[in-house]
Amino acid sequence: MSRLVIRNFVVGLFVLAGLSAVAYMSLTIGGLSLGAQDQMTLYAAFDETGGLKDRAPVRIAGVKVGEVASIELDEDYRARVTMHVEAGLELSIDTQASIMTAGLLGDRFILLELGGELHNLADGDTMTWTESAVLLERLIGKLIHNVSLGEDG
Amino acid sequence: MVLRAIDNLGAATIRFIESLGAISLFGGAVIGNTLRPPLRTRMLIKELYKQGVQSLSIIGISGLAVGMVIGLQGYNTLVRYGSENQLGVFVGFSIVLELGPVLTALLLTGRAGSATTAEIGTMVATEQLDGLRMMSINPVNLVVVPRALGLFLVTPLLTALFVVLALFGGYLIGVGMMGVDPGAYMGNLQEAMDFPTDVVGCFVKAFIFGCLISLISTFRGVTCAPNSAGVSAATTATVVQASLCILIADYIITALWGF
Amino acid sequence: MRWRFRASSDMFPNTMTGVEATKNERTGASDEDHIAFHNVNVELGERMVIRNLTCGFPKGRITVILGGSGSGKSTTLRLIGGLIAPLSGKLVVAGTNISKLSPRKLVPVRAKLGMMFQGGALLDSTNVFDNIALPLREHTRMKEDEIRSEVNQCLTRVGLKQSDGLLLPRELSGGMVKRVALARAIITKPEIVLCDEPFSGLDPITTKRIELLFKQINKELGMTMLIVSHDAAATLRLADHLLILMPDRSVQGPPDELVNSSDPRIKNLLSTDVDEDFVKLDKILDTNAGFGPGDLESTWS
Repeated sequence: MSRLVIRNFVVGLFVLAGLSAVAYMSLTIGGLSLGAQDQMTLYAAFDETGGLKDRAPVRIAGVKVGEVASIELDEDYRARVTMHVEAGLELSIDTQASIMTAGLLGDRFILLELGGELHNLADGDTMTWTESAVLLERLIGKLIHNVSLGEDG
Repeated sequence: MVLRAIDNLGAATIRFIESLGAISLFGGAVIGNTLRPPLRTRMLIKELYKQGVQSLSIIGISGLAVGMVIGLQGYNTLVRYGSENQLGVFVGFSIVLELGPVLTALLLTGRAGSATTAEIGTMVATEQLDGLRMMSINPVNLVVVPRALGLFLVTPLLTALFVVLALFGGYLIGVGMMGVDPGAYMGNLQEAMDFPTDVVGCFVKAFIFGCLISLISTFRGVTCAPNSAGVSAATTATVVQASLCILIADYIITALWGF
Repeated sequence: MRWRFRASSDMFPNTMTGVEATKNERTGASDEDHIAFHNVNVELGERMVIRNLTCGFPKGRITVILGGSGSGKSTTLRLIGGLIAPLSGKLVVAGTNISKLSPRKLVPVRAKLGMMFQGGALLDSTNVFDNIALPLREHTRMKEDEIRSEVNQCLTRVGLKQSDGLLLPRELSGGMVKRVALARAIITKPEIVLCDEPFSGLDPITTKRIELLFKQINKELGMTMLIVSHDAAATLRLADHLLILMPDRSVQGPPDELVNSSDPRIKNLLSTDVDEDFVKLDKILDTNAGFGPGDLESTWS
């Protein structure tokens, strides 16, 4: 009988270990928050996203506050980016969204820089102040162009 | 000649469709009998022990080893581009999305799936299942369900353990040996990893692989020819067919899930 | 819907009334066949195993099915149990034609059958007690202590100790496996017991003990017994009725008539010199202290 009890105990330990591995993967690695964190949705339109991807982070002063939910083309042929950010943030209505690059060749992310207006952005608002991604190849192209112009002149 | 070839192709197609039909009916019977009381807890615990606890060592060691290898390879590649801080992301994505569920399922097929087929096959060969039928006891209910359910439950648990150990293995190599910043390893990994797509995707794979392993290994056992050659053929068939199905299913899920 | 036995008082009468009822039936209807084959053909794979078999098995008697290997002896039992279906023909078991029944409809027929498989077919992961208790646990609402007393009674009947119930099938000797298999076959008190090669792999003494057991159970419980065997000596001692399967035809009748058959093949099948066998057995018994000659005399003389 005691062999059965030991086996049950070992199986219990096994299931417990497995479940805690599942929990670790979900909570710590996957970043699942159990207490269904409130989010608000904001929109911003850019001329150039420069390879911004879904789920790219949205940061304020380098701290992640949300992520890009989707990127679509709007009726003006600009990129309309939907992002989910933490609901508690008080972002003034003139907050600027810029697409930045982490390092020289790193991934794109959106940086929010707060403005000075008294009114705050609400769930579903569209940010009017945006700064598009800087394309390195265009910069280099301009540089070469300028250099060669300089040599000629 | 050509007619003969067409003949053979037709016969093979019919056999294939017949076996698909048979395994579908069998799967339906297994699910039906799983939902029907009584729940045989004692037998299920026994199977969890045999299929889960006794597979822990191979799954654990493989997970650690795979994580360490990926960590080493990843470091050597990433360091050329100066982005060794992304090692956590590199290890994490390869393990969570692909290697974790697939390798766990393949190892489990070899370790527990084949054993299940051999056990049920031996029961067929020694007329134990016929004995149950004569007592009007459905062998699916008494013999197949605890084993199929055990394999099905054990797969995601072992997958999670494999993944966590592999991440730890990559951490050991990256942070412990190569001197990657520990905050960067975990931080970048956590930032890149997303629960609804990556982690859920990993478990979707694990659940589907669990279904495949449990269904194929019990089906091959029950349909085994009642002699020792039959048992060995059935065991081989389980390993070959389950492995192929896992790899094919992995491709399909990856394509549909849109990783 | 899973079929269950009716209330235990119906299905499991206490032994005394059960015996009396069946005894009366036996004298009244001994000529009536409990199982009847009508032109049954069976094909396994490509091979015709049984060709146009017509025969009957009398109620309450021990019938031995004899035949060379591959003559379809075991197939006959598996047919009766519904484990294989005949290609054509009619097969009546306890009043029901089972030749085309679905597994679900076979349930009430199988409730009247108990089968003892050649290798025992005991579930090797559970002990002897649980093996014997299995049909009771699955099909009745009996309480655990009722099951316990029923199983222990059955263990005693087949000559095993209660403590043997704790053994696993792999810990049993060949004779014990047969006894446990028999116990499991009769635990539900079926009308018909099918025994596939009950003497295979047993030494002569154990063979005789098992024979004795069959006689006893047949007498006390009045069950119809079908025994597949290729042991001519055991057959002649045991059988009330004999069915001999040959590739082209089958013969049935009382053993003492068939012994004098003119067909050389039947003579050959039944040719073992019984007296010589007894002499051999006596020699073995003299050296075996635990099993006196008196035991045998009470059985066979």
